[in-house]
Amino acid sequence: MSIMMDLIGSSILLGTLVLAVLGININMSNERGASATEFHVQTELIQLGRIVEFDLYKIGYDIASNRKIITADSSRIKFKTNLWNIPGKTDSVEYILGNYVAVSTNPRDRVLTRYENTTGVLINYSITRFKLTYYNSRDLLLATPVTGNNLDSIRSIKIYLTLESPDPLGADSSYVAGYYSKLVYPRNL
Amino acid sequence: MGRLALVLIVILGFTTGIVTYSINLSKRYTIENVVGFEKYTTARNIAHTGVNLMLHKLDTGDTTFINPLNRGQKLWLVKNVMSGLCSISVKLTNPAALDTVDLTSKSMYGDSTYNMRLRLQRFPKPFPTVGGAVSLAGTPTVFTMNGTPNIDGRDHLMNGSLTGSRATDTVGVAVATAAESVAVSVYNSKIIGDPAKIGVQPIDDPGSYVPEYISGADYTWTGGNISGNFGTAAAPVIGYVHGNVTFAGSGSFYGVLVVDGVIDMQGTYDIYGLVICTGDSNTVQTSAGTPEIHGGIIVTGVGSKFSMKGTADVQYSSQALNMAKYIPKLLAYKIMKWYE
Repeated sequence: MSIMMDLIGSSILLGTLVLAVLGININMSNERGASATEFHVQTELIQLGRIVEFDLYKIGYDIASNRKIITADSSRIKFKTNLWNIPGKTDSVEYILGNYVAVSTNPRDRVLTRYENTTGVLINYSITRFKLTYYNSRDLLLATPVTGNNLDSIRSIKIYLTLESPDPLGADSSYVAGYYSKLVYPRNL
Repeated sequence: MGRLALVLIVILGFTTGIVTYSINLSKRYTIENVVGFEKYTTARNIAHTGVNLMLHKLDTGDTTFINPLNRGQKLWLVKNVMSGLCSISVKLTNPAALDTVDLTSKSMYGDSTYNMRLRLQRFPKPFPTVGGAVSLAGTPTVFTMNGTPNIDGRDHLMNGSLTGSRATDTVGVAVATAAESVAVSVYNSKIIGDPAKIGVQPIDDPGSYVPEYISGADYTWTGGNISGNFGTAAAPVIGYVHGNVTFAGSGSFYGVLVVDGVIDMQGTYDIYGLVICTGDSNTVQTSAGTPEIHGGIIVTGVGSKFSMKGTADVQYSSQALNMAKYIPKLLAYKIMKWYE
């Protein structure tokens, strides 16, 4: 009888221990997944921020004409520059926020495309916000789309970028997000 | 049973360790990402600070930079800034023109580097127009010349010789009214001008420029005898006389001299640049010796006097006036190219 009691007790203890181990493992795996996703989103955000900064600081570099920015809208910008500092060369760079991504779970993520001259590259699929605002030399906000002679009065550009993970984390439907914002004063404007 | 429990605990510990390590690794990479971006941003700020440091060197008339620059040399400034390192070079694109500056700024912060290459156009801020070797806008004008002094409106180099072209010559004495012209014409024999000795023309009011000159003065004199050298052709300065001052001896002054009071020039003291008399009851006089003023003089204010004695000379010099325009702290910069 005593042996039976020991066996039953041991089984209960073992079961409890196994459940505890499984619970811990599941929680830690989830946490690991969340950390990896955060890392991934943040890496993308920083890379994208650096790419955008690389381009925007060069707006109008080595361009003789006054019209250095061709298109200036809230989610689209096109400008002229000598991107790689090659004597006599003029490049055009364009950023366009495109359509929603159909294959991801996230209903808000969109595609951002960067065109260098005629070559377009989809540089990110996880953009939930890509907003540009434009200011003149008196730091007054210009209404978008900026058109006509107002294009020549742009002196600074503020970028708002938000990236979200394509899929939610766990069952609570929350997405990992990263946010970047910067006011850039392109020196050649 | 006991052994099984032991094995399970070992497996549990092992699994926990691996997952914890993975999480920590992920967090570490995330932090490294942020730190990397912060280093990049800081490196950019350091490079930008380097540009400002170099421009400050030029603005403050640091002759250890300005003199070699004017000789066409390229100079480097290496500074520790914001826990990083910045190397900035500067060069005049065309040393003869002084108007274009090339800068490179290279910064390092941690393992991040940032480079900037820029070309700046520098130009003088608006400067009073000098209509003659001596321009009189006082009311009334008190103008005397005794002894053998000369006022020469022909364009001279700063060494006293005439320029090769007469196209930039001007009148000897510019006055605002015909009545003043009559008063000055008594001394016609001591005045040289091209196309005329005396010209009746509007005199530029230097009043709007003077406050900046006074507030930015490198030297302020309120009285006494002044001797010695102030400024050079490469690094002209701003002087402000507020009182009764005598410039004597064999010194020299290069730049803009604002007079609100009395200056008496004696000995062989030379002034190169622009002399502006502002305020009321000012006196510019050369009472003895052979002092020379190369550039131009504008006399304004109620009751101001201009008096020359001995063998003093006033020579119009567009070269000296141009030199005075390039007082470092009076220059403005415009970006021509900025690559980063």
